[in-house]
Amino acid sequence: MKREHEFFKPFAFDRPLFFITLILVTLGIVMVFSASGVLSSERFGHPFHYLIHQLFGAGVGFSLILILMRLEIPLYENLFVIYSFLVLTMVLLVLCLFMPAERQVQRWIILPNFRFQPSELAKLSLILFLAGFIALKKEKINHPINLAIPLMTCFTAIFLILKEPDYSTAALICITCFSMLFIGGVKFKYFLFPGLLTMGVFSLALLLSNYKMERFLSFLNPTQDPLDSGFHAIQSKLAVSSGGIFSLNIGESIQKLFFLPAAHTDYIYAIIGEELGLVGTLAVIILFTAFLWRGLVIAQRAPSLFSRIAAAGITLAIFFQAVLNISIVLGLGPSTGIPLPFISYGRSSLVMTLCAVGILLHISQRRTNRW
Amino acid sequence: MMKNPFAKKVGRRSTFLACVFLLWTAAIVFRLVQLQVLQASSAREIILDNNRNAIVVLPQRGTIYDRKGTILARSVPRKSVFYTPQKHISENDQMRNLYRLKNILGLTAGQYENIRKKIREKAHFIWIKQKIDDEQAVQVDLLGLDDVHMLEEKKRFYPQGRLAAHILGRVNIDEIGQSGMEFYHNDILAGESGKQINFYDAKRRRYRFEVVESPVDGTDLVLTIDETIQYIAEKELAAAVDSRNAAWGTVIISQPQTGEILAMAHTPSFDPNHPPLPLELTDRIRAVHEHMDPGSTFKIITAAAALESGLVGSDESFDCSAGEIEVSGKPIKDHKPFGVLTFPEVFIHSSNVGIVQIARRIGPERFYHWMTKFGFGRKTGIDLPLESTGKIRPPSEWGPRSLPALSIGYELSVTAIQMLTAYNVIANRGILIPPKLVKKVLSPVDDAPPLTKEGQRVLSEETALRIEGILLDAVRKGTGITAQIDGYSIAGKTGTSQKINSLGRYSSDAHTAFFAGYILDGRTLFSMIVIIDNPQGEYYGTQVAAPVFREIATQILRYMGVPGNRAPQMQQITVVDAPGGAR
Repeated sequence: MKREHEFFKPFAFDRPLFFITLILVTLGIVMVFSASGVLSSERFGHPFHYLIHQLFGAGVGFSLILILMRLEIPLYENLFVIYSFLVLTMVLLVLCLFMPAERQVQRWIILPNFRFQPSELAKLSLILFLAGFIALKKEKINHPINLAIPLMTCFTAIFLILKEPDYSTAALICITCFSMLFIGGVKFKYFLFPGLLTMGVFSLALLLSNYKMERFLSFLNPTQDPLDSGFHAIQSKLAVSSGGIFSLNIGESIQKLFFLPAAHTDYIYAIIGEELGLVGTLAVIILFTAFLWRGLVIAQRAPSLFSRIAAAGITLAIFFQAVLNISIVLGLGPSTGIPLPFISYGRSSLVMTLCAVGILLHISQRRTNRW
Repeated sequence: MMKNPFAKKVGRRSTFLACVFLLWTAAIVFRLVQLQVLQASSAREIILDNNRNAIVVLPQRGTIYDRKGTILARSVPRKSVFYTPQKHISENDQMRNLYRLKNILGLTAGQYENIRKKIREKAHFIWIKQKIDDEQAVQVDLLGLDDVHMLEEKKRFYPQGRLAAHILGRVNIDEIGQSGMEFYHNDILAGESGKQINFYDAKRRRYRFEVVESPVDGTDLVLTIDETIQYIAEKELAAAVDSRNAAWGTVIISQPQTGEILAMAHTPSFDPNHPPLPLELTDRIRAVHEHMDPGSTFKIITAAAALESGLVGSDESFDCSAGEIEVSGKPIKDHKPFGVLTFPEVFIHSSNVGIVQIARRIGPERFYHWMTKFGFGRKTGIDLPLESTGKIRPPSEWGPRSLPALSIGYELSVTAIQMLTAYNVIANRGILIPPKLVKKVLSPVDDAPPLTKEGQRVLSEETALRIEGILLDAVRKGTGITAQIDGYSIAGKTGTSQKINSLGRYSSDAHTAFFAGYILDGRTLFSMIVIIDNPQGEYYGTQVAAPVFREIATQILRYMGVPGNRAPQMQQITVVDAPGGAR
């Protein structure tokens, strides 16, 4: 990776992207507080527990962004760093399986006063690894052996995450990896089989969610047990719908009063819908779309092949995760738990997403006149 | 400027993927419009329906006092236990929790099974037990079960137990009066319920409420009943019914000048805190509901009719030596031949033969007029439900034996309260004052209409005094001698009637024993009627009912602090409102 013609322009980072991120994180903090206040009061005796942790996550994340942007040398582009990062990810993922189970899952590295979810790290390290690998092989990536290496790496990580188990994150990472390979020039035909498979899974999920529609109708019949598994989907759709077009009832959500489980994490978009209405939900979508646009512009202006692939990969991965989360909340997908980037409660997710944004912003500070 | 073809490819593919994602985003926007624009109101409705609940806030039901301020009925807070399923509690644990409740609350096997069934059916709200004791509530609270909650309700409590049970009546689980005073004056006692909206979280915990309409508490009632007199009457009546193996008995004691009922006793009775089944038995108030042939007690009406019409000379005598008199082919008998009796003596000795002779002079139309004038055949208007009119027939429906039969108290039926009201006419010197049970309505605003009922003259004072004289003699030296209390003036009349058997004929072995009368002390102190139904062994009013009158009256006189007046008249004791002061 040559950088002869490249130059670094400190503070020339993409300002729209930075402010979009800032707005989304701020909205997230407000909504996390609104959605978790009652739960926090009940569990911890005061309403601020989740707010404080989310603020802490945001603080760490933005500090990382600032540090990353001050670095003249793009460490993330260094293959040694990337591979160390990848190895660290794998080690932590394996370590997870030796951690005490919480609610039958082992997703966290738990140390006193510290918790971390390595699968969040895996997203970023795999994107960087794939970007680095593709930038190295370029067109030769379509050679079966060259393709096998990234595939093996990705599947190892996915397998480890499935062991936790965390199916939704595994699926998300799987799709992220495919997207990376796709933008990295892997031939269309190679996607045919996995593509069909994914489509099959999704159509099945949609069918299942249609079945849930029926459950929703039968829910009106009070003899039906409302506490079964269809509860999430029903309650989240109810929450979003009840917001109407205009709504300005921050803190007034009814569904967060334990009607909607995971209101401050995976289903926070439903609370946004309930408290801010269509205006709020569309605003979030517009912000993410703007994020996608700025991210792709950064990728387009990126000074190197690696940074282009990495920037595009990071942007698409974050946008895709947002779209997937929103689809689930709106009952357009199977109700599995993945957080809404920047907004959902979760420090690991927030820190790692902001770290990825830091890389994006750093790329935006680099210029070249060679291309 | 892009020169590297691979980098261009990366750019193209990124854009392509972004477009695919954006298409999906467009679908999401459609979905948002569908949900938030088209389904908004219905979703809002469902959410609010789950979240809030308009409940009726029950008012405090009015307290019922006796005339001295003793509480006879009041509503006290009581906890009710209900169950709501919790997601995090397994069905096994739910059943275990229920089992622990079963022992504390003393659920019957049937109730227990019923609740188990409802839990299995996953009902949202199940009453486990309503209105439990305070100790039970503490125990349930100590269990700290997540799926079991308590709600405060009001339970009607009768601190005097069985006292005046029939008069007070009972309420249902929703505190709506079902019988007695609770039923008759439910509108006064109940108050108006308010409305409140409760807000619940998903665990059915209330976190907020809004009062839409405040409840208006019920109004308190003060009865004319005197707790002590009621107690004396109930005690002595129960003893008499018990010793006579009678079917039932009733005693009513009243203040004739005001019509106020001081006591209304029934045997058998019940505890209104635990009304026995079937409830209908507790709800029929025999003193106002049961009607029967009054027998000799009714003869004062014949006397009044004869005297008021001027049909009988003051010194006229009647030949009763035959001991019987022919009435359309069949004799009406006295229990022994009396010889020649004066007008008063006919009544003092209760000679049927003499009375039939007097009745023949009165004639049907006039006799009927006097029955209705005394209030027979219609309700007295006392504040109790299920009052009977009794039964009197117009002369057009009478047979040849009807007039003689009526004159001695047969072929008609009257209630105890009607009979006592008729005796009160004599006590009141000819004025009919309707009976009443409510002394005061303790309305918070002092606009309660006066409860005094208008008296109505039905008899001349002279006639009333003459009948009173007869009644005084009837007790002093006639059939009522067993009611006599030394040192007191008692006016009264016994009665014994044959009951109508299942064939519709007068039975020769089932009787009702009566005594009606009042105690004078310058003015009337109180009047009383005693009815003992179907006594075994002795059955004459003289033997069965009159001694009960004496026993009760003796104790009341002691309670009221009225000394006997063997000595000159002691007119300084004037009963203005409440009888007596000393206890």
